[in-house]
Amino acid sequence: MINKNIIPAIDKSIKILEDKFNLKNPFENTPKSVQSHS
Amino acid sequence: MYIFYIPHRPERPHIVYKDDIPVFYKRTNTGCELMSYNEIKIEFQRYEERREKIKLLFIELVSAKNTLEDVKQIHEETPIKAYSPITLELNTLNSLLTDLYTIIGRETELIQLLLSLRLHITIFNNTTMMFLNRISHQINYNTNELHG
Repeated sequence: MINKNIIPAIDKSIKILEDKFNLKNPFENTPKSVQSHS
Repeated sequence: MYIFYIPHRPERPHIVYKDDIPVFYKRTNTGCELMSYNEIKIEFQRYEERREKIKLLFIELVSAKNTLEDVKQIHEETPIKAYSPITLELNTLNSLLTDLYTIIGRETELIQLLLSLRLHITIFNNTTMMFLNRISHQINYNTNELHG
């Protein structure tokens, strides 16, 4: 079961990293079916 | 007598212009001194290394989000209470949190989010492991019933 706070927490962390360290999501324009999973 | 503590900036080395000539300074016990070529080179290499680790943390987070969204979608499409056989990788996040603390330590919100995330991922992984153990016990039990 996934805690409802987990995905928003990841989203916020990603946003902070994008804003503060000028990073871009490398998967943004990649079709979801070929994105990698850990 | 005054005592000052000037912390290292994670974005070092810093360039300044002296008579239109770019130079790098370092702070020492006696004030500021010009850095040597090798010192500048080492600081740039360290900066690049820290930057690469931040990129790795970013990719880890994006990847974890994609995995969780897939799992969430499967849960939503399944009418009964469903468990996922997937666990999320935590070692990289743990190691990056330690390595990057000097850079991201000033971002209090980010640190809080990452620590909370680590806790939630641990709970998610433990729930999955409990589910997998239960299946394994059930399979063993059924096999013993068949042959016993």
